Amino acid sequence: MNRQQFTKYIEDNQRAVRRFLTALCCGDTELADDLAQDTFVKAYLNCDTFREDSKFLSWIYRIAYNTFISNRRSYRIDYGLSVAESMESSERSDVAFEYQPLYAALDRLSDKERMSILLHYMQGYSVAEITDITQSSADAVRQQLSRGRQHLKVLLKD
Amino acid sequence: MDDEKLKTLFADFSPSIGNDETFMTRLQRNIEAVELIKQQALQSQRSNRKAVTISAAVGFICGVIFTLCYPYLKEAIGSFCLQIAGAEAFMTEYSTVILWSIICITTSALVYVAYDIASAVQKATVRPRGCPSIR
Repeated sequence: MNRQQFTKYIEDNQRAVRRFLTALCCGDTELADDLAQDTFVKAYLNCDTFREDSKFLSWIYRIAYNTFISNRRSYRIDYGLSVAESMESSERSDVAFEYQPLYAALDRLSDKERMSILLHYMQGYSVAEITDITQSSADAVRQQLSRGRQHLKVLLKD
Repeated sequence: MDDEKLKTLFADFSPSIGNDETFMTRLQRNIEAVELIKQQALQSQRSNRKAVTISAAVGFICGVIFTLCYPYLKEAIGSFCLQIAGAEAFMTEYSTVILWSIICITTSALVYVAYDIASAVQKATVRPRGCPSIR
């Protein structure tokens, strides 16, 4: 895959990846964009190893997930509820406040639960595809989804 | 919360993101930086290979010269040993070892110096595009 092809792929898919990372970072768009940049640069560096038969986007999500996890390990950032305070425009603040209960609920989930829930419900991936992205077993992913659902049920009821 | 409720909740969920153009411009800049670093690494690898080849050639030439001069060197060492009072026997017995030690040390030093000079010359002459010279 050459640079033009890579750029074309990224142009087509960057919005979905950035939205996903924003949700994963509980609304922190700046951090999500930084992680997205890291993800795409890592993907560019390794695009020679990308197998044509596997899905490009799944591969990107796997890199995004690993980047997110290593970022969490490095900085231990508390995404929390301060996200809306950092919003610049009123429109974006409105959107952030609209999703505030969901972000707050997602923030309480473990990284793996959040990842599985978002990949399944937001991105529409099946359990088999999630196992491929997160490199976990199907049972582990089902368990994460089940636990994530249980936690969201309790958290969003409040 | 059942599956359907979650699906409905996430169907309307569309987190806001920043400007696409700004993001892509930043990404292009990052990719260009990556390309520059890759180019630099490749050039440094090439110049290192050249320096290794030059130092190997210097090592080979030194070996040839020392082999050709070995009889003369041995004679010189022998006559030198006889001049040292009190240590003639020891020096005469170990003259071969001493001679080989001197040859090894001299060759190693010359190879190291050749590698160092070749690397410095390569670095001075090969400068990647976009990198200003350091004054």
